Amino acid sequence: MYVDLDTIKLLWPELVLVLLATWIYIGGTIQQGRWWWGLFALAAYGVSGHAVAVGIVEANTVSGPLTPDSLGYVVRFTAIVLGALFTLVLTASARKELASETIATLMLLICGVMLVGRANDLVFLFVSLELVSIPTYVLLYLGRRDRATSEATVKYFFLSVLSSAVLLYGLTMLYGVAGTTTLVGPGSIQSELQSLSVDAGGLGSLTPVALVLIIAGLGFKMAAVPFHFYAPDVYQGATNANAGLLAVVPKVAGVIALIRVAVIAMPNVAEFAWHVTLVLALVTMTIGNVCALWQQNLRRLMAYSSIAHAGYMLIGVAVAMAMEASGGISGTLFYLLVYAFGSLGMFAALASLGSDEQEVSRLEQLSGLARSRPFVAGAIAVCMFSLAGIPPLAGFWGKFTLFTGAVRVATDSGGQATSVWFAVLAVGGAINAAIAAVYYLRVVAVMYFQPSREANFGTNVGARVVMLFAAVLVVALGIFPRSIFNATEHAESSALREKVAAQTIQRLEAIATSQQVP
Amino acid sequence: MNEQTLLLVTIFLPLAGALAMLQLGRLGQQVARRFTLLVTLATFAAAAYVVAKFPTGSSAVYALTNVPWIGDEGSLINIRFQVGLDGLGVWMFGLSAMLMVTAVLVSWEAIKDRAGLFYGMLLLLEFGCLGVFVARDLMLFYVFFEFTLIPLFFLIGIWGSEDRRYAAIKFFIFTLAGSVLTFVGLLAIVLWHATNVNDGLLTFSIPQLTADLQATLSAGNGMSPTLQLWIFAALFAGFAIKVPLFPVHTWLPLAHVQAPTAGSVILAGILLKIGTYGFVRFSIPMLPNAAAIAMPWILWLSVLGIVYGALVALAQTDIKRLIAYSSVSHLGFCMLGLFAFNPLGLQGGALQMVNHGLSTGGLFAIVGMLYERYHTREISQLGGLAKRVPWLAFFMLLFTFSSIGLPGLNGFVGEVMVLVGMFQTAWSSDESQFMIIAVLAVTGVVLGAWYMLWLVQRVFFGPLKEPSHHAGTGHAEGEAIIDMTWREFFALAPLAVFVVWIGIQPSLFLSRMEPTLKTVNEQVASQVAADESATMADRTEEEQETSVR
Repeated sequence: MYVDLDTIKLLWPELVLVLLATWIYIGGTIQQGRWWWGLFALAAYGVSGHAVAVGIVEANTVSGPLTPDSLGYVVRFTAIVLGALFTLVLTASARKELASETIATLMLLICGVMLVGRANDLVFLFVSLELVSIPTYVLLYLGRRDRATSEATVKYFFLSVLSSAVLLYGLTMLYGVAGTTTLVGPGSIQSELQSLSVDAGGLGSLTPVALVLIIAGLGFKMAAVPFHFYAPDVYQGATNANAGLLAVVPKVAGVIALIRVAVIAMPNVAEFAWHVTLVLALVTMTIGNVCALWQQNLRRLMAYSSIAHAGYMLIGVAVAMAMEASGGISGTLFYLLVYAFGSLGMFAALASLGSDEQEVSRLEQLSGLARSRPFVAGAIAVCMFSLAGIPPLAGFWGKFTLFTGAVRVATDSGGQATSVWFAVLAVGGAINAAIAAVYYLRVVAVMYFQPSREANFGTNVGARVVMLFAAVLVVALGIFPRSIFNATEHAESSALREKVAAQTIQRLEAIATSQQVP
Repeated sequence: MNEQTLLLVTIFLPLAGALAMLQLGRLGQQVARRFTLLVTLATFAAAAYVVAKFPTGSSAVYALTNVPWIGDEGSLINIRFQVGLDGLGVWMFGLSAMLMVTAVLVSWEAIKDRAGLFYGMLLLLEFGCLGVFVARDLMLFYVFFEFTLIPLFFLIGIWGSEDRRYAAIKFFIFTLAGSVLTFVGLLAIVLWHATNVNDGLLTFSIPQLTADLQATLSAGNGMSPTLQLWIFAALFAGFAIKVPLFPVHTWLPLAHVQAPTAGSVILAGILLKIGTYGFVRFSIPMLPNAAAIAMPWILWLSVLGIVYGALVALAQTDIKRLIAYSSVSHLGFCMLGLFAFNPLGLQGGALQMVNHGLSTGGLFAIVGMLYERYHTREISQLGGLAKRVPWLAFFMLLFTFSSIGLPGLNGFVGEVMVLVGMFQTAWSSDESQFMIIAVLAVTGVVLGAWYMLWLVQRVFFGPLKEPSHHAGTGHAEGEAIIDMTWREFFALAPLAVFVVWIGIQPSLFLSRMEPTLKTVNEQVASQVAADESATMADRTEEEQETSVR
């Protein structure tokens, strides 16, 4: 790993965000007001996004701890879009005197996700993940000041620190095995592990341990079972906007980190890894969906829904581990995107209904919403149907890519046992889709089938805009999903190309050494 | 306009109407219903023209449009917007367009609350129904198939009777639970094809998949029967619930009773047929060996459904529930024909799909009309209505006769073909169970005549009995009970025309279905024959082994 001027240049989009966030922190003490800094932050995301777009054309060089593959680009663009959307939601719902701090903290958080997206180094990856975690604690606390929020924040803080420690332990062990911190490329963890047997009793036998610790640490970020216990309590204690943030942004970071480390860089434990991930996927989906069935609190319900969706994403991860270039990575990425927008739309809609006096948190508060707020009800319905995976909405194509991957491994893999495992996974996913529909439909049913009740809903313009944007996007991507299909497929092949290139180099080296021997 | 464009117009007109309803719906009930009637009539006219132009004697896909949707030729995923009509879909397509007009007319007065949303959903439902029967791409089919759930969910849940919320959710979950498994099964077919035939590229074209799967089977390197059975089971989950086969029919009576009249008409007339359609389109031609193995089981389930549905219908006190159970029985006949695996049974089953749509659609519409007059559906509260509403009684009798298979009407043709097909199978097979099934099916016909005629007798004949004006369920005092209005007449007349027409001139309808069904049947028959000779060989081997011992 080396850092030079080029690395700084490549980091420009992220640096812009950090610099401008600092500017907002300082400026916020002088100039108060929500929209002043909200629009400033939107402009900052615009600049950063432009810088990322320029970067695509410019640099294709591996420099320092950064990887230039298009998986990174997809993640960074997604992060910027999510950042801009959450800025809109938070600007309108944060307390006025704390608006600038909230917006700036969000920018740091988004910057962290962008860095995770392109990390090619263990230390860099860990620091990026911390850049996601630490602003999250602050944001949670900035949202509201009451006992529930304090409890939620403290709970999240301690568990998050614990998970970071576990992750760090896993990463150090990986470093101990491979002797390098670079993930992919010549002389990297990936190429070191390629030839390292797991059973030898030597160093290689530590890789499964490292893998389990890494999955545990990142599982917390994704809210995967058994590291999900915090989610319902924390979401319930947080504001609607913050719960949305928790449901989406750390999940993006966790999934990408899992793909970068466990899928791409640890080829020698793939067999073990997919078994673990597959079981986790099944358990996570089922527990998330079944527990969601009885929830009356909307944020609790969405928390369990987010757990269930973490399980779906793990389907794609397991597929990618079991079979190279099987569409597992692209499926996971696709699912992540459609989940992010569906979930964001739901939380934005809830945030838009809240007013200063009253927050929407119980299911029955939505009753008859179709009459009193037809557009909000329509947007929520679209998001619910999309999360349930009903065509022709975006969520359906997410399920399509994941199930295709699982069925592909089931039909195409050589081993009988592998086929059975993945067939069970596909069927389990399908049954879970039906269970999940029960509670998503319950939300729709409450809004459309029940008489409306008097409620003074607020008018949060920012959240309303985001909600409509997300709903329209979910419908549009459902009807024309081609662009994301192309982007995610390209991301997968480009992320794997690095790997394939490294393998080729290694093979050439091996041939060279074998020729030298005689 | 050439036929391709016209077909596309037919499909997308309801969608455009539904989108326009977003704005028009605010102008109130009057505008919404008139506009919707206009749209459905225009759609029906266009559909009728396309169906009329449909050529006889060809199994090729008519009016085929084939453009890329997701991916393209040569890319990893190639999902295409591929639509066209063939002999299996053509009549269901026409029927869908026709029943929608009926659905609008029967909702004319009944739907006052949130009319714009109601008619918007109805048009979306029409879009979904038409799409299912023209889709020639597997994903496109599935998208339409599941999409129909959303509008019907709202139709039942918002405008249904007392228990509507539960019924809507139960209907949705039951259907979805099956269809997601179907989805996995369909994906398995596509991926098996991609791995073994298509160099890892995913094609979703139904004609190509069918052709390639059969080619590999005849070449001897086809899908193994075990895998076929698993996939068949996955597909079965969704289609059987949709049909619905006994014992997964429990959602149907509930959904029917709670749904508004238009919802019941569409559900019975069109949506149930998607299940049977799925069997003929996917399960039988793509997985012939599995279909042959599953055949006796499915025949048993069908005949159980026939007898069970009929017996339960006999015991009903609610007219709508009675007709709902009769649907279970009648769809059993469809399945019986389709799985008799001979040309006669297959054609009879396919014709029975249309017949049931006409007769049951009409019956549900009449029940709705009675309910609007008397605000009750209890058989015990009604009697001798033929004196009050003679025209309504006439239509009731006509659709009843059609439903029980009176010669000269459409039901007779379908039922006879199904039963003869079944008996053919029974005679040509050495297993006695087929004969038992065939005989049980005949008792189903008798039971069907019993419960339907008994219903008509109790409600329309005998001494006049109307619900008391003072009882809570009775109609408002002073409100005169009038016979059919012109609106109601035009809702039922087209159905009645086809009930008689198919009865008199079935060849017109059968000849357009025949070529497609014939290819389906040939494909199955060849595989079944191959299987049988193989099992015969096995048996002789076993016998030899035992004799050696």
